[in-house]
Amino acid sequence: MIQVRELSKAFGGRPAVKGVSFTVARGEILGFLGPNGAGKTTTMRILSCYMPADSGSALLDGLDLFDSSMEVRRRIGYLPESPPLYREMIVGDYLDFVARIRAIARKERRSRVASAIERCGLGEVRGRLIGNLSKGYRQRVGLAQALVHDPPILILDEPTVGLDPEQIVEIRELIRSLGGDHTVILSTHILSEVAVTCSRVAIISHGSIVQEGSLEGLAASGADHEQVRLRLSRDGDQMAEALGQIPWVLGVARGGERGTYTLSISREARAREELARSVVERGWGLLELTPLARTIEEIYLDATRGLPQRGAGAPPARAAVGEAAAEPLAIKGRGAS
Amino acid sequence: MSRTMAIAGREMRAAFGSPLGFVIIAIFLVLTGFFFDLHVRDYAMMSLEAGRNPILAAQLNLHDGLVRPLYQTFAFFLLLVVPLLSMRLLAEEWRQGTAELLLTAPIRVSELVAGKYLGALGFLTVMLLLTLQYPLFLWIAGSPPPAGAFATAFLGTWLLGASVLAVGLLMSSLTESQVIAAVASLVTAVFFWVIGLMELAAGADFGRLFRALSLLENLQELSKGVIDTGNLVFFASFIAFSLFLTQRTIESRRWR
Repeated sequence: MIQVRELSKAFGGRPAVKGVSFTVARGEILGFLGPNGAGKTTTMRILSCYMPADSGSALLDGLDLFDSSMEVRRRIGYLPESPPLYREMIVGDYLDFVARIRAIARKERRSRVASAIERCGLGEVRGRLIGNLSKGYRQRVGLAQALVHDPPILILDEPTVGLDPEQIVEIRELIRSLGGDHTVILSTHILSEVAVTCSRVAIISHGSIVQEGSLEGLAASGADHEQVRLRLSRDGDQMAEALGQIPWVLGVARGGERGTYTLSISREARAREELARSVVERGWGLLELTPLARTIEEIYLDATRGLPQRGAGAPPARAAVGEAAAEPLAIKGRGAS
Repeated sequence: MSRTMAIAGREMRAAFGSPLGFVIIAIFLVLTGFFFDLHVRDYAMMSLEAGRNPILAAQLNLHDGLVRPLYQTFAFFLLLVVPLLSMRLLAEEWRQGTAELLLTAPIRVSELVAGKYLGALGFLTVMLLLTLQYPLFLWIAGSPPPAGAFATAFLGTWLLGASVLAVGLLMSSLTESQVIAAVASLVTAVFFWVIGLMELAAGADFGRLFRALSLLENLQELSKGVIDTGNLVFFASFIAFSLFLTQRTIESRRWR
């Protein structure tokens, strides 16, 4: 549905987006993740035909962004970072105006506006001045504006910023309900948002995409080791040392609670099985063995800090094991082969 | 076309729905009304004078004595008032971020500029039509006014307002600040108003050029009651060139 190839854009010689490429399949929700100033908004502005790129190409629904700009625009609903609202207009009139400049025929306009109002829960405020609405309602009007012409593609720039928690949940629900019939790109710097709403993630940093894939795929992409949490009925430092002696185990850390350990083990299929068997054989009282996926925070921090990518051909360095869980866990990074 | 009209319609409603729109109309009508009264008194004094002075009586007519000076005064007020009308047209779109809505909609920039201009021109036209109450008063108070004289004077004033409006739209496209847009359009409009006065200082060739480019000179030709295509072409080109530059400005803003 969306294919972006080598998109670049500089402002006054300072590059904002450097060779960004990604694809989004029909009905997917792509989360565009990155710190402030990473190039999220610029990329979205290019895709929404607000500004042209310096180089690169993009196909939306099979149409070239630059050659058939007008056709592409009909297929896109765009919510900029600050919703583009006329404060002096009434909600209903505003949506009708948007439908008119979106070239919707007079016959359909009324029903399209009505369905956008219903979809975004604006029934109560449709007769009110936009300038008098709360921030949450304004954001919803912005979303309704992007939906009014029923576009197959939605580009949403930070749709939940500045909302209270309840509103955030509502907007996320709404966006999730849009996936399926609509292809959605949404940007955010809120990590949990991606985990909740998106089927795929692209992490952008300093103008380039540093990670892209499904959330599960990225979580698993910790290369050739994974982490498991082990809870045993025995505790002690010698225990940790003994665990380290088990083949497949690359690193051990004592957990906060009594008898919990976090282990880095080899990603091979047999590793977990072998670990469980060894523990049981030695009679250490296995209570729990949980594989730990890398959290989105860890993926994000690794990606945006520009750490060397682990796994891609390189041997699993012991130091890297510690880094994988840099924030929440302090792994001692010792072990035996 | 329908999208142009959508933009124009929104602009009209915004102008008539805002306090600023009514303040502008009120200021304009108070000023013009006051000067109408003044000019009529003047003309009445001259008529009394003419009763005793046959040479003056031969020269005195409603057209030169009342209609021309009256509408020239109106034109001067337009110079001051139209920048207030045009200042928010695009500056406000940049400032509040609605430009992103307009420029990502399937509209060409030329359609956007045309819509903005026509919307504001509609407001200006309504404002000017309200000045037609003055000839109506003359009619009620006495004889039917010289319709042709009023028509050409009205046309000239309208064209002048439309030209200043086009400059105002251009200035509004250059900045996010309404104040800067208003001041810049006022300065530009006044410049093109007085440029004809530099005729003598500029020498023969440049003098002719300045005269040809002057809003005031072209207006005076029209308000003499002569509709010369040269003057019409001047105003039309002035407007078209300003709108063209506006379109270019918006296009260039996208690249930054």
